[in-house]
Amino acid sequence: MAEEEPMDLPGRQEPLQPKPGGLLRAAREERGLSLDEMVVQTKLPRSMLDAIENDNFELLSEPVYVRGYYRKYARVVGADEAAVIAGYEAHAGGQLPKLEIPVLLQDEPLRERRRAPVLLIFLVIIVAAVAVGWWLLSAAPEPVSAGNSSTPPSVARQQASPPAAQARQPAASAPGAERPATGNRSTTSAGGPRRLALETTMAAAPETAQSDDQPAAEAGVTGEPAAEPAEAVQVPAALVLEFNEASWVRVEDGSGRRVLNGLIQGGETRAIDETGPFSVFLGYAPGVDVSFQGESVDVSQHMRGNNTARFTVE
Amino acid sequence: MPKTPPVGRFRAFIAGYNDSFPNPPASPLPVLQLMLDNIRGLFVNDLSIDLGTANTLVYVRDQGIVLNEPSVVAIRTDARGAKRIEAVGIDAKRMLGRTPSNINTIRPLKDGVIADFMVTEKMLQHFIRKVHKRRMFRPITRVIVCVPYGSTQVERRAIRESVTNAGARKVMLVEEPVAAAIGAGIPVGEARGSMVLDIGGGTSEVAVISLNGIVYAESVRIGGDRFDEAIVSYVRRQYNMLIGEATAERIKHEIGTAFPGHEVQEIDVVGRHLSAGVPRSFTLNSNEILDALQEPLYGIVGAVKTALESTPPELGSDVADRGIVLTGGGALLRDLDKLISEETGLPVIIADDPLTCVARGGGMLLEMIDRQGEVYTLD
Repeated sequence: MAEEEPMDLPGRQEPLQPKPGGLLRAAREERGLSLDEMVVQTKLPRSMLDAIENDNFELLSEPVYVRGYYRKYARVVGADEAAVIAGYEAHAGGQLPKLEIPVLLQDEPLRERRRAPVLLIFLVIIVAAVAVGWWLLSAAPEPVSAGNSSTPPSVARQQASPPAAQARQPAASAPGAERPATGNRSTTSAGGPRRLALETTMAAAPETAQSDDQPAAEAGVTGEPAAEPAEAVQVPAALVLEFNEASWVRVEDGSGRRVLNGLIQGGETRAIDETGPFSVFLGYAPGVDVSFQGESVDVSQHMRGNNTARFTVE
Repeated sequence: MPKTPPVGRFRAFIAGYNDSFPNPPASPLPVLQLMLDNIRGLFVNDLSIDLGTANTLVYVRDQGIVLNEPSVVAIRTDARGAKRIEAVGIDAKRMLGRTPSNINTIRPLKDGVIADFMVTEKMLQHFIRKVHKRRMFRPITRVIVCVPYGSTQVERRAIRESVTNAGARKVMLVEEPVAAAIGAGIPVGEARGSMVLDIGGGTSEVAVISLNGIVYAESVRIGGDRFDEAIVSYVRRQYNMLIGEATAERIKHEIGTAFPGHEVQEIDVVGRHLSAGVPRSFTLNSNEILDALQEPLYGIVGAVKTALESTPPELGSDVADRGIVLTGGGALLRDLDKLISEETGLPVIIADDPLTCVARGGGMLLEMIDRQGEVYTLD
């Protein structure tokens, strides 16, 4: 009853719980003990005993002591200790810090309480992991060359060699050449036009003048061999990676877009004919020859102890 | 039935947290704090261990005292000489004095400190596992262990390593009198002297505390065990009978008293007659036990008197005003408060639930450490 309204004024609870001072005084008087005798028996100062009997809680000390005083007093006068303590807590308890630490010796309810949040947290973590995974997968750019094994290595090597690459520009614009508009992102994904380019290069020497293409026509006017004007207008593939041994590679362009990513087997070649700069990371640098715009790049100076190399070409 | 929309459910969830506060907070920060505390509770587990000579108590933060078992381990030795733990705690205590030759019951702590390092470690391991039982994964465990005031560096280190090996990530040591005072509810941070007397199984410690620190303390290696030994030797001397420690403890609990004046109580005991060699029954009364306990009791009273003599006068007057607080299992000996009160002339009061004061004090320190830092812990 008293616990339900701990903040209430003491006076309102009087009918429910008798004040401890009155109980103790009545018990003392019943036994015929004077306050001075109580001082001797309890060893408490007289002022403290007065405060106890008059329910002057403000003059009393901290609860730990006061409960002890009440118990001692009650024991001496033969009063009910529990009733006195209950009266003290009911009347002064609202203003006192309560010492409430549960003593639980049964494990079961404790564990059950803990289990629900554990499951909730696991669920949240799993959902978060799935969301992050989905986001990463959907946001990552398509790996350009890593998994593309449709291009035969021989063709790749051919198209990656500088003359072949140089010949591609006019070839692409030659009639009948069905070069896709976006095919220049990477050479490996455009096997058809590349083969065409190769054929065009080989045929260019005798038939340059017949070509409708602008550079080819100019070559025809000057009467020079076809290779020369082709060289003048064609730029080499920006970055060429020749893999002598299997190596992991990642190439990002200037905007951070991943243009090449994955494990490439030895003997293959990859050419990227976009404009630089490129950030290159090689997993096994000694097995890869790198050239940028026709010039060989010395990988060894970027090589670290674990044979990886990270460098930028522009 | 109307279905609660998700947003409504979330609001109800938050409202549930808000209800945890007496006055709903204006900002959501306390709510978040409480939620974070709950999440933290999944990964970090704070324990306070009262590693006592007689009993070990474990307090788990936010839960209370979850374990209170005797510090006893039973070890079985097999035919090849290999040893394994047979029982720990209550089960092992039941075996005390009743074991065959291949089982050995050990009390790994003596006088408040470790006497058998390996067995203490195994016992702690058992208790910590028991506390963590059925948790999905083992949390990071921070442990506060209470050590006797007079313990040496070597003894403290042994306790620290033993608890670490038992699975604790971080071990903090705190002096028992401080933990006992905090657990009893004494305001130790005030600029007022408070005297606390903690009577444990192996040691009794008296300390005067003011402003979060020990002004004077003394530890005597007298505790419940010495009371039992005193009863055993009294019975042997007076009755020529031999009784076991468990019987002596039972006698102490049932009729033990520290001050004359109460009605005389009696108990029937069976022991082995030393000359006849057969079990015989006899009756002991509380006055005899009072007589038996004189020596250890006056050892404790002497320590209290020494402490009062060594206390600075200002603090001494504070102690005289408010009295001495008794904690620990020894405080349950009937009329011990009266004995000390008569001997010192000061009021002596027994703390609420004196057996658990040290463990509860350690638990309160765990809460304080996060707010105030490691004010009370030892190096």
